[in-house]
Order: sequence, then structure tokens, then C-alpha cells
Amino acid sequence: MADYAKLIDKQVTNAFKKTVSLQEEVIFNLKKGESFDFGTGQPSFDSETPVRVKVLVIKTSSKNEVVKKQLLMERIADLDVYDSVTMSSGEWKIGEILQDTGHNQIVEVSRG
Amino acid sequence: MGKYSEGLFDVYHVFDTQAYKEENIKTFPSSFEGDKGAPPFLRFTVVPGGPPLNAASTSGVLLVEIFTAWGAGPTPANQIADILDKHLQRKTVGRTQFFLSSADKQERDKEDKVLARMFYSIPFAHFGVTI
Repeated sequence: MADYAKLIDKQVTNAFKKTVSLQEEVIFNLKKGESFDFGTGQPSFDSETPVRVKVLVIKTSSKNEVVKKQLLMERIADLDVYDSVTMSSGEWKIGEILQDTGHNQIVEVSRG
Repeated sequence: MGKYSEGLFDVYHVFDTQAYKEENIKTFPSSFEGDKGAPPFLRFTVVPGGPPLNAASTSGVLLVEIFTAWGAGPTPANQIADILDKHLQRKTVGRTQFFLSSADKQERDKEDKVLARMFYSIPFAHFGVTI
């Protein structure tokens, strides 16, 4: 079982190396310690940590003035709707985790 | 602040009191996506769907989903329902009055099989002031 995990890790790394010219370095802004503040009626957070990651944009779509992108990337644990990602095109909201293999993820982000 | 927000913040106020915090029951509004930790925890929704008395008033129901660990039996959820009664039933908070509660049967949660879910509901009326 461990051998398969190593093999998958290696292949994912190889696949990323082959697409290096298409990758974009982005910054995920990860908010931790989410709670709900009943005084303000808003979610609140203990901290925000920037994480620099290389991603491959595999799909871009637009509907009703909302632009969505699908990002293929190495897995970041605990991504949620309160996090955001800063790309060359600006700040994008985290949407659905479309696929999570445990090694890599396809994450949908949106703006608009 | 309009009648819907006022009623909602009266509910928030119940869960923000020191007396309720001392019950140590994690409580979140619907659509809050943050980490809820281990059960038990509560998720509530304010449904202002009842008939209003005037333009500044609303009535409706406060729905509370009580999540406990599946396999622990119905006792924890019913104990939490009793705690909710202590803080809500026949109480007036701000300009919102809560009436008599009811609870539904406990079921295994469809989205997360390690959780049991029981619905607790209590009707309310929010009395706004017309000018």
C-alpha cells in the first residue's frame, strides 16, 4: 500500500513538472479558528496565514457575470469557503472542492 | 434595522448570553461553514414565515438541529432540547417572544453518518414598532 502511495506521489510530481510553463504561483489566504460572533452577526477568525502554491488552471467558465476557474494543485488541507486565493488576475473566492485524491486537488474558485 | 434583522439578532442574543455560554453547547447559524468540532453541536435557522401583526412585525419558527454522536442513543439530544427550553420557551428577548417548543424523532444524519440529528422547533413572534 505504501509503495502505491509513493508511486502516485512521484507521478503527480512528474505531471506537475511537465506543465511547469503553464503553472501560476498563487497565494492562498487561509483563515483559521473560525467561529460565529453573535454580537456582530458575522463569522470571525483567529488568524490568517498566506500559503504560496503553484497551480494549473485547467478550466475557466463564465455565467451570469460570475467567472469560475478550476485549479489543479497539490492538496491543501482544510480549505473552506472563508479562504481566498490571490492570483495575477486578482482575488478569488474558494468554491467547491471538485476532487481530492489525498495528494492533489481540483478546486473551483470564483469572482464576480 | 428592519423587522427580519431585529428578530434574527434577538435570537443571536439568546445564544450570546453568559447563561447560555455556560451550557457549553457549540451553536452555529445555518450556512456557517467553519469547523464545528466533535458533537454535540447545534445548527439553527430562523424562518420568519408566519403571518405578521403589522408592517414592523414578523412571526415564524426557530428551527434547531441538534447533532449528537450516532450510537449514543437519544438521551444527549433530549437533554439538549431541555436546555434549549430553559433558555427559549415562554421567554421574551428584545422584542421577540418565544412560545412552546416541540421536537421531532432522532435520525442518523444523511450527510455525516457519525452524527445523529434531532429537530427542535419553537414558534416566535417579533413585535416591531410602527411609526
